[in-house]
Amino acid sequence: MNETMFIDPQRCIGCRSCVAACRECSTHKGYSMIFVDYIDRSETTATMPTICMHCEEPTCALVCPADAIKQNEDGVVMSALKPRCLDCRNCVNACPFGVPKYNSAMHLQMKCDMCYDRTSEGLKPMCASVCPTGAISFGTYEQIVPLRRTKPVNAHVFGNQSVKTKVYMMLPTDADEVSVDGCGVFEGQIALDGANVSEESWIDTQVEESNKSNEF
Amino acid sequence: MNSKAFHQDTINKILAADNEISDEVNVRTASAPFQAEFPYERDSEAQVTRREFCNFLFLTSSALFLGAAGFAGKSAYDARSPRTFTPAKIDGAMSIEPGSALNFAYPSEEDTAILIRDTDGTYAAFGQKCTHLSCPVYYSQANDRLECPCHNGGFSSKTGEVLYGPPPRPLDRIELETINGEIFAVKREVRGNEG
Repeated sequence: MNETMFIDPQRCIGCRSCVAACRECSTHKGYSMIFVDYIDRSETTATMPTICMHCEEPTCALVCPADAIKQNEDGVVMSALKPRCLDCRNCVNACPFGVPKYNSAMHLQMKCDMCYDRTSEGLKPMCASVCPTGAISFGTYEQIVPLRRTKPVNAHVFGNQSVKTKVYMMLPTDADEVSVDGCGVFEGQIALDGANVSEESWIDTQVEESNKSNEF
Repeated sequence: MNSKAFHQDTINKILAADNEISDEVNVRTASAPFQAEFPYERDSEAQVTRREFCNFLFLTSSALFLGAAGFAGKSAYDARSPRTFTPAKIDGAMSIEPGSALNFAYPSEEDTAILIRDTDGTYAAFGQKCTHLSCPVYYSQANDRLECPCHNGGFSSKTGEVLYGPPPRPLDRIELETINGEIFAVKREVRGNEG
């Protein structure tokens, strides 16, 4: 499978079609594996979709004590295997992108697996097939990149960790890596600028998508 | 390469993973022994090492062998003490016509047997279970032999030997004795292919 996902936050209009489409799938019925978040609700209405970035060395799989998270031959990191998942939430806490969420009713971690049931058959993932603006596109590098003015980047720096991913972010700059850190706060940094930790904005607490809990 | 060295080799490979991919060295180091044993790549799930496969073969065949040896030992032990039979009266044996048969059970209720009175008045008794697939045999008066209805086996009504058909062994023979004008079954013996 040469295709991968390209996420372009600039194009996202916050319509949440992807969320609705993701909920439709019978493999995880009723739960959306994609999240659309306000980037900074007090400053801007800009939103951004978050899907699993499918790391080349997935931290979630590295920290899984039950060997429940598998990366397949195409580099897609699968959702936790039901018979193995302990609901220990190691992966939930370890993922730099905050992608896996746990479902305490089912005692199961659930995360995006790039709709592997569809993509392995040559179909687009649900979210990419419904996105009206191309904020989420699915295709080969050669198909997508020449049509865009943005730069595909798949290196992410999260605090002291840098990760390479299968999924590309389309950036409007010449940056070689994306800095993934919530509010600029991460271990080792807290001491440095602990004074500047921004409070969660009031409006964030008013919208369901900004519910920062890790539970479905 | 022995397995320990191989395991260490795998760990070293994991630790030497390209920093291009991720610099998550601490996690990699902490989880390397686990990752060596349980790699997260899905296709490695299907891999079985030669050692595992050989262990599986050896242990499974050992278990089967020990099981078989246990049964063999038990039957050998049982064969050392000859079975004792208590004589049992066959009810209604004296009243059957020559050239007819009577069903009874000896030594237990489950061990069905058939008593045949020959046209000359002599008695013979055999186990009723066909030695092919345990169907009950019946006495055919017209042909003067024991026949099995399931797969057309035939046995002699005098000796219980196989006359034709699929049965591999003669029927069990039941020894009879006449005591005080009553017929008693005194012994049941399983017969093989003595010839």
